[in-house]
Amino acid sequence: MPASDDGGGAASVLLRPPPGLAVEQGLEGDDEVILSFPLGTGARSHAPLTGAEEAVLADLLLGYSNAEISERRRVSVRTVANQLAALFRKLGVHSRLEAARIAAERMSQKQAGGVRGVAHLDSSVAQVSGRSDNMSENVTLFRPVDRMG
Amino acid sequence: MRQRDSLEREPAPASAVPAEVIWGEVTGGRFQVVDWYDRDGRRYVVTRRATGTTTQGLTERQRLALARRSAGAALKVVAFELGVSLSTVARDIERAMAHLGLKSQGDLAAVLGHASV
Repeated sequence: MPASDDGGGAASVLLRPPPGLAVEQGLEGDDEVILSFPLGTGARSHAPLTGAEEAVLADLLLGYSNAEISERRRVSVRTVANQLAALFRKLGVHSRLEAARIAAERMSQKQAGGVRGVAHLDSSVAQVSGRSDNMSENVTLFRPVDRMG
Repeated sequence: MRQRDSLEREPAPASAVPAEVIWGEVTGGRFQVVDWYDRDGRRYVVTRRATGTTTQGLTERQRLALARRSAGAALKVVAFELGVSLSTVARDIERAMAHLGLKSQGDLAAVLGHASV
């Protein structure tokens, strides 16, 4: 990393390039340049998910709202919101849709015989859906109706 | 967290100007952020060479304040750290953001959020 960024001094170190920064488009003499960097490299925490966070993620994958998750888990809506916030931070995402996509990727990789640390999530989804062979099975069982009892 | 690596591809073909140099131009206010968007696990930042009065660059205090703020530090925390008043640091950041072409706190976090400590 070049320390000799002109006119920056010590402060320029604080605004150093994000890891993986690349020039996408625009070469010499061009007035418009497009830069890119991989998402989630800086803000994402590498901390493992807690049991509560994994449980909330499993519910999120089933399409429950915060209120519904709160009812299922017997915790307050605020607790659910806090657990989701921690979950999003750890996954490096900003919405439940993104979180669901990441979790789905994890599961498909797990089924393809890969990643450690998702067994808990996997089993909790499998438990609800009854099957875990592929995602379309889970989708057909979106929002099961057995929770009123 | 390595499972997202599949989404990240190799860097673009070598440019005549290294990305770090252009980054320095952007954070120095000599290139302005026009737009940003996300695609395929990467954030793309469209920048354009600054013209007119904006080519002056940032002051040292503006850079410090901007860096701390984009790292998520609250305005009053930044003000305390830099030993200036809240209104001063707010003005520093507002002007620094205008320099860089950042129109909102969302822009600030999106473009500089991953770059600051």
